[in-house]
Amino acid sequence: MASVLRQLAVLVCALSCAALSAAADKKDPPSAANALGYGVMLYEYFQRNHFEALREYSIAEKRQELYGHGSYPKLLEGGISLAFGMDRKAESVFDELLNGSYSEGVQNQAWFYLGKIAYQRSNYERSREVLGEIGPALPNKLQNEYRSLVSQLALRYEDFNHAEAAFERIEANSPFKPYTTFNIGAAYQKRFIRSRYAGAENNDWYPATLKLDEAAELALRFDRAGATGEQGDDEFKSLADRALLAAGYALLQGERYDAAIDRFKRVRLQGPYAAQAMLGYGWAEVEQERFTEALTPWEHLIDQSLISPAVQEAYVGIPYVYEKLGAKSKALSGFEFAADKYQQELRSIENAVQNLRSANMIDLFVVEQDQGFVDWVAAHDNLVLNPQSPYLTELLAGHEFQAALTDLRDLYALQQNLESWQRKVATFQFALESRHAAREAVRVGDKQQLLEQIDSLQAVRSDAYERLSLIESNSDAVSLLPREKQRTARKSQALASDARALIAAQGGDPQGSGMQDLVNKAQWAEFLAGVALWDAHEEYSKNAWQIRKDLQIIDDMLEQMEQRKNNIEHILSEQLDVKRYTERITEASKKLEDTLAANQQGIDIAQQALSDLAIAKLSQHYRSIQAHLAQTRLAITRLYDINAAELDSAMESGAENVNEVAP
Amino acid sequence: MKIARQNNTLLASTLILLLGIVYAVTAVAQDQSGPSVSDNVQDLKQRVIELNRDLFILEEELLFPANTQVAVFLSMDVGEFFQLDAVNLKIDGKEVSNYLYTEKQVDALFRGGIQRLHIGNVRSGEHEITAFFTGRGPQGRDYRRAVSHTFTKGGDIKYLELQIRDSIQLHQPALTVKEWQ
Repeated sequence: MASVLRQLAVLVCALSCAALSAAADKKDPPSAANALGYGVMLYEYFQRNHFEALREYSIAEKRQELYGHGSYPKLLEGGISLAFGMDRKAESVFDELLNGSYSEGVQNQAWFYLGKIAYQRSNYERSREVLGEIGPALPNKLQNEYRSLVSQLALRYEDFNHAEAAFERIEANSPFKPYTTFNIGAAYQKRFIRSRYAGAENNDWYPATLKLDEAAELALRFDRAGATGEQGDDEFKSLADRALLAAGYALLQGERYDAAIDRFKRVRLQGPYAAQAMLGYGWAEVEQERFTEALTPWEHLIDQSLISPAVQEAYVGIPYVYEKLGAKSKALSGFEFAADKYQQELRSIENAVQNLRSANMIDLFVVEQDQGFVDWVAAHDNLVLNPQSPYLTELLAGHEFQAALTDLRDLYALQQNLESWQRKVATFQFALESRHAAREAVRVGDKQQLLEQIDSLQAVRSDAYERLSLIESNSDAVSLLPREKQRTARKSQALASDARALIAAQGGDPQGSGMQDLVNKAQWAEFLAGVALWDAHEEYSKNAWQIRKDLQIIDDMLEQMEQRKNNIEHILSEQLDVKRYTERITEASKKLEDTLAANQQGIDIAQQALSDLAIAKLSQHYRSIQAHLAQTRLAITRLYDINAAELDSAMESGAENVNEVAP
Repeated sequence: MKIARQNNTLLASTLILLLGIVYAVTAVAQDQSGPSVSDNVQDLKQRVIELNRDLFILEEELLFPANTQVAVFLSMDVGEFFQLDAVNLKIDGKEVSNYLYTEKQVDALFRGGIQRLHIGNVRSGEHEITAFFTGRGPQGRDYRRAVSHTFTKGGDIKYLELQIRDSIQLHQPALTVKEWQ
């Protein structure tokens, strides 16, 4: 099942959805996220950080921050889950969208993705059934992919008419077009090969060639137009190569050798299909008995690694050609050379299997572990493989193995994530205790201090208001004077009053002895008091305003302090449930521990599965080499037999001659 | 006769090779067995996502309680007049974030994503947030602009969104700060 799902994502998504949806996304105008949580999820999703996007989705969902976007968040959750290799989760999300509360368009999209998942699981009956539920309201952006999927499904049942009809409805500018036509061509070719093995008459090589040629042409047209896919800039060049290669072999089987050579020659030499093309090229020449011409591509091939089946075959093909050319000695040494090479290769495989059995798979294949999660859909061809294991790198670069490796890498990324949380959670209890201590400090310190300050300020304010009110009601302007002037005024009044009292005590005769001086002083003091009173009345309004202003400042300060007091009381009123938080931290720690243990178990299982898969692949390769070696040894024996027979014949012939000349 | 047989054998292996080419694009493995490594990995992924969610919320509650939390987000609407390179964020004159953007991140913002740029704590009362944006402006020229905003922190979480928008009239980017309630 693992390989199915992975291949599904690689096939269906890589061939179709991812490339198309990414292209469509680019063209769509940016949408404003109405809720921050949804926007944060989109930010991760658009960077293809699927794990982070799903985490953000989960947070936003819990905080009810996904409002205002209709069914898009749910559809996105399904899509991201699928892209992150969680097809079961995706399936449950899409099922949820079919509960009757969503529009027909949304339900159609859900049916479509469910059909795709079923197809990816090779459950073609279910896929057909589900896709049959789709009504006319499927969004335009999915139409081409849907038609491609319908075509693929029809091919599973060898319903070529239906497949062709679906293909015809795919828009010309859709990247699904070249892939779908390739798949139709490939299906014809498979049927042809099966018939050939069964000994039945069949001419499917011809429609296969037509469709594969068309696929190559379409792919090259996309490439020239600058289209790039999820599998990189060379995606359409690579598809064209694959189509040309398949067309070449179809023509080879149809005995159209020159046409086959034409297709093989058009396959890029630097592409991944060059070796198979060169092999086919050689066979097309051999079939026309142009043996010398066959040697050119095959001799080029044997400079390459024996991991490639094409190279393995070229090793035995070259001496075969020499034999056909009558160069038996060269043929013999060629077969012997091939046998040596095959034996070396068998030893390399044995060593590789030993290494696989004893090594940590992830160390063997993946150099960089800190890259986080792998883009499950797009990255299968892009994993970093340990350069010290080139043998494995080349042999195991196939989709199935890469998908298993991606799973293992994801598990390691999960482990890193969990370990990072484990370190953080260890500080949570400390943070909780610090927060609790800070709250206590506020409660017993800050709040108390603030309350005292407020009380004191309020007392000052009340006193000041009372005094101002009294001054105003008594029109006591002097009391509003600055302190110095107030003292002078009050002192002058007192002096005048004292002087008048003395004068009165001495009979009030101003002509009396010393009285004139006392009268003068009294008059001067009265004058000074009068001036002070004059000044006080002059400045009364200004002084009263200044005092009111000061009182306003005190009021403002009091208001701020009251607000601060309220804030503190608000903070203190929200219960910091230390016990509950401690429980949550303990629970989280336990869950982390359990999940890490489960993850480690998952890593062990995935390692074993990967190791088994690698060993199975190597064993397959081993058997293939063994078959070539057996074939080669037979050829060597046969050539020695021929040589021996020829030698006997020559010796007999020589003996007769000797007899003839002998006396 | 022997040669003819050998030729057939070689061609047969070529056919097998050809099947490989064809199946490489169209075939899906026929493995239909029960729970597998992949199922197990899927379960673990789901478990870890849920655990991450709970831990994230717990962390926020503990380290950034609502009465002190301020969260700053960044969004971009259209963004044709401005190619963002970096954002430097200050709260009350103190640098709290200095973020350099990759092409992928800018693209994610351009397509409607919102970045959680900063999450921190401030006391209740008035504060000033200042964001300095650097990048490429109209006609690809170096561009540096700042936006300031004063906000009052109360008892609830304060969400602020730095917005980069295009001003069609001015042919310039317009930078604003939005307070979320």
